[in-house]
Amino acid sequence: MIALLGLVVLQASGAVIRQVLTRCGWRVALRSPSSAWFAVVVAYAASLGGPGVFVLLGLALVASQASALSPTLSPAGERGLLGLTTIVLARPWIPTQWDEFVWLGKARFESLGFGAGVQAALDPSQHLIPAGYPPLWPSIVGWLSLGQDSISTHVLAASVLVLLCAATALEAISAQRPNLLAMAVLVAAPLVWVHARSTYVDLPVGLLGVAFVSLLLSSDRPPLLAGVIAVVLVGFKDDGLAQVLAGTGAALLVQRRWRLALPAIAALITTATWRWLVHSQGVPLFDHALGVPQWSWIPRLIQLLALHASEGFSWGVFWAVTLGVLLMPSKDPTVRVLKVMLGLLLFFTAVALLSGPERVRVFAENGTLLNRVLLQFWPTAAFLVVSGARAPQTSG
Amino acid sequence: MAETEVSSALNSPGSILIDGANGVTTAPRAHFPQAGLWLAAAVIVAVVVRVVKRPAVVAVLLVLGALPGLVHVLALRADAPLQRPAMTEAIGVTLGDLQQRVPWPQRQVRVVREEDDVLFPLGRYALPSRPEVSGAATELELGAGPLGQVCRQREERVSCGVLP
Repeated sequence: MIALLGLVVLQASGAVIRQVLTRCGWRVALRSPSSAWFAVVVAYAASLGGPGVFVLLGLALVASQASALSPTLSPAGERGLLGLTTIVLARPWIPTQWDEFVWLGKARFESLGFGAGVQAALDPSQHLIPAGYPPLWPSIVGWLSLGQDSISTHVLAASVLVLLCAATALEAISAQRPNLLAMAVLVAAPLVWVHARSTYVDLPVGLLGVAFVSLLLSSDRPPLLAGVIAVVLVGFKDDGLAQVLAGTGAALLVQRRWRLALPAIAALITTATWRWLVHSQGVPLFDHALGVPQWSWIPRLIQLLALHASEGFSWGVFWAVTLGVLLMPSKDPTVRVLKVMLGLLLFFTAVALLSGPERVRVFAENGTLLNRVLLQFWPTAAFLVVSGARAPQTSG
Repeated sequence: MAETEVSSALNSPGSILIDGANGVTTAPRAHFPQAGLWLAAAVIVAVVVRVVKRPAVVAVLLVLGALPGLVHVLALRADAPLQRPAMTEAIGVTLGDLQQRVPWPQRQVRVVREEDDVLFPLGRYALPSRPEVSGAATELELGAGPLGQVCRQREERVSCGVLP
């Protein structure tokens, strides 16, 4: 239960920071689940040491042009979140899947002191795996655990983090009382429910991705929260950068307002800061190092994606429905942005797989990668299906 | 339930630990034995959605399509709600024993063997950092499963799982 106290601390401190920076009002700051992210990015910058100032400078850039918009969770969103919390937390707080142990193990460093996880990640002699990955997810788990070194505390903390990402997404998309289609979308992909009751980072990355693009669409100028979420995304995984760039590219293509690029700039600064730290400390970067593209693998990649996406036990007919909606013409700007974002996510994934080391293509071939990539796409695709399948269509 | 569908279930703790996050069943690891069926269904559904354009039809298709997978998630997988406590108890026994024998970071530990099996991730939680250790240290061997068993210790060597 210490993790719930950690959440209260994070939320309260995040609310103070948010109110000071955005003047959104204390009621909004305290009640909005996304306020916690403001404390997260400040803590992340602090844990990086001196170079963390660049993270804050990137956010200052966003703040200089930010709108005052502060979305709030609707009553329907609150009820949905309550139901989701029951489903997610009603299980033994012990990991059951491979990467859960690996990532939660890194959260143990925070029991040694604030920022110990970052220090370990930047120390090649510690042989952390996977090497070179951004450390924010396990760091937050450790912070929520208030330094307690207990696996049940870590699992609860990480589960709370999954719920925080879901709450942020519900808030950003202005979730209203779900209709029949929205309810069907929620149950359509069984693998999503496996991951909702897990502490993998893939679903959270996708949830924050759809929150990010929704915030970009909410106003002529992006709210500071969009910049905060962009920084969090790239702090979770390098895949988070794909979400930021895809969401930004899609929003710019449809809306053409240059300020929408500012959160992505903050994310790029954060990514560059981490990569510079990794490189300067001599930490090897295996999985996400880019090289010469293996063009000959493209047909195989298309085949593997089709096989994974159509496999009914994991995805039902969700991706087939998504394809059908993608093929529907639409004038709705939200639908158009989501379509472009999905296309860009696919493109960036292809680039990463074609240009990455051989081991990532091996992972894709042996069934241990692509479904988790599709999980990162799912929230955006789900929003697209709900929006696009009932949006007014053009003729024909 | 058809035999092929039951036999593809991730119905053991070890299979969940290794492949539980990669798919609802063993299909991705088994290179999609029913690919033709699923691909044909996907094409039909995509065409119906595109042509019919009715939200209610889409909703029905989504729910019906989810049923086979939901049966696995809710009943057949070893991490299904009613089976999960037994699985986590088995993990807890092995992980708890491992952490007790090689407490991190208090004890110097040298991992001398680490099989790519179910004990690998437990070892990574128990010992998240692996600095080079010189001098006296506890030696750790992590073999293949199973879960639910404690390690063995002989002087300063801790051995877990089945070793060759």
